[in-house]
Amino acid sequence: MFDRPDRLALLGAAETALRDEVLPGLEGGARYTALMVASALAIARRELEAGNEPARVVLDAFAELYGQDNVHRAGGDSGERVKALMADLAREIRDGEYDDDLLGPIHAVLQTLVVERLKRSNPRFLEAREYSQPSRC
Amino acid sequence: MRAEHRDALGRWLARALGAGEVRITEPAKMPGGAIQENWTFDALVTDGPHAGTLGLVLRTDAPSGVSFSRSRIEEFALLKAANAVGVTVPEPLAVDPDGEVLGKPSYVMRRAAGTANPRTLAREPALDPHRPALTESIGRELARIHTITPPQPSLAFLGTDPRPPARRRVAEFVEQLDALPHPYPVLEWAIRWLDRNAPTAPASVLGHGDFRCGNLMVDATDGPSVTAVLDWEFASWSDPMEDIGWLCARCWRFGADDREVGGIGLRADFQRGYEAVSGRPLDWAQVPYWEVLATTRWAIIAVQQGERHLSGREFSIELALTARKAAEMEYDLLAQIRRIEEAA
Repeated sequence: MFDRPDRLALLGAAETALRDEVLPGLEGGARYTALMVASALAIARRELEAGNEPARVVLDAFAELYGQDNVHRAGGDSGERVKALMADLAREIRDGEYDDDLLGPIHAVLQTLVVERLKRSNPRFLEAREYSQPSRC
Repeated sequence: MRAEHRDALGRWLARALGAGEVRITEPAKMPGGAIQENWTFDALVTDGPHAGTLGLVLRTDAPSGVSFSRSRIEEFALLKAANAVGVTVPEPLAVDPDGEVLGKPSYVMRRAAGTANPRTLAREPALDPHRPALTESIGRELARIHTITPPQPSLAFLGTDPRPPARRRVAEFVEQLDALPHPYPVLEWAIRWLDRNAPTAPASVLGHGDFRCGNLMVDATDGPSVTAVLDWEFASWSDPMEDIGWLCARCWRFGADDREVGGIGLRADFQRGYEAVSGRPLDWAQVPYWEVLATTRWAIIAVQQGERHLSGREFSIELALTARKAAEMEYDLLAQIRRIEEAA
């Protein structure tokens, strides 16, 4: 119901203006803060752009572990289902259910959980395993 | 600083330093320090054992201190103990446990020269020719800390937990995760692995608890050399390998990945310094376990920092973004543990 440009376009515009028009004139603490703002905007934009895709990929990974039927019975929208399944998995790990096979199928599910988040929070980490540095995002 | 605090500081210092009179310059608040406040000033001491001009730092709690870290009084005792065995620390001069000066406990130490900025230590190309010597000296500093062994009457506040240090950490991690409003299955998985593979040796030395780039003050103009090991508030009786794992874990290399010792230098240089003081061979085979423990610990701290921001008590975009670094550490954990298991 909202007008154009939509929220994704507004976020993109804010990010580009910050990087191209504001940042070059800043130094010291203000520059550091502005770099962090740019980084926060970029994460929000990428997560918005991704839509339901990350949750779909994660649910598929859970289905490999729990079976397709169990994952789809979990109800709610895909985001809520992912959160419920993460809580289940965390509890099962704590209870020792995977103790004999920590490197088994559970590793692939956990890897997917991390990768789908990193694609949006710090894609450079996946490309070059570079930790984020607020000073040069 | 308020005038009455400044005047109280001068009078208290005169008594504490055994001087007739101490005149001080206007204390200036040093940048950083969400948990502690540091005030820098000079003191002109008329007579007594410290007669002359002293460059000093007054350290006290910030309004929102983290409750589980060591108090300022304990920190002062740790600095004294470290200073006594030759660790390069800002010499601790006087403590005000009852808050006579500021209305809250504080202490005064000498001001060390140089910078603790991690980016300087990890990335400054001008340091490159000096890295072997610098890394060796950092090895000596840590080994000196590890010459302090339990029990020590002046450090009684460190307690006598009989559990192996790794198991104590695992129990802390579980408690910390339980206090968070969101599930973290990767961290649960790493903690489970840490629990099942925990070394069983009891705590044998004083662990610094946060020995890394960022807490090592370096004077680039003098040598360069380490001028102070800072931030003792996470010290505990521990396994010496815990500090080495924390220093060497990839998440603390500030982008200088090929320098395995904290982004500062190479293992061989660190080892030379460490062994020269400790007299014991450093067994690198034990370090990967402690690097996993370090990565887990930093990931949990990162998430907690985000929660501090979200609590509304402490707005900080830096804390907010730090929470998003936890996924980076989770990725490393999955790779680190797999590498260890595949090598076994």
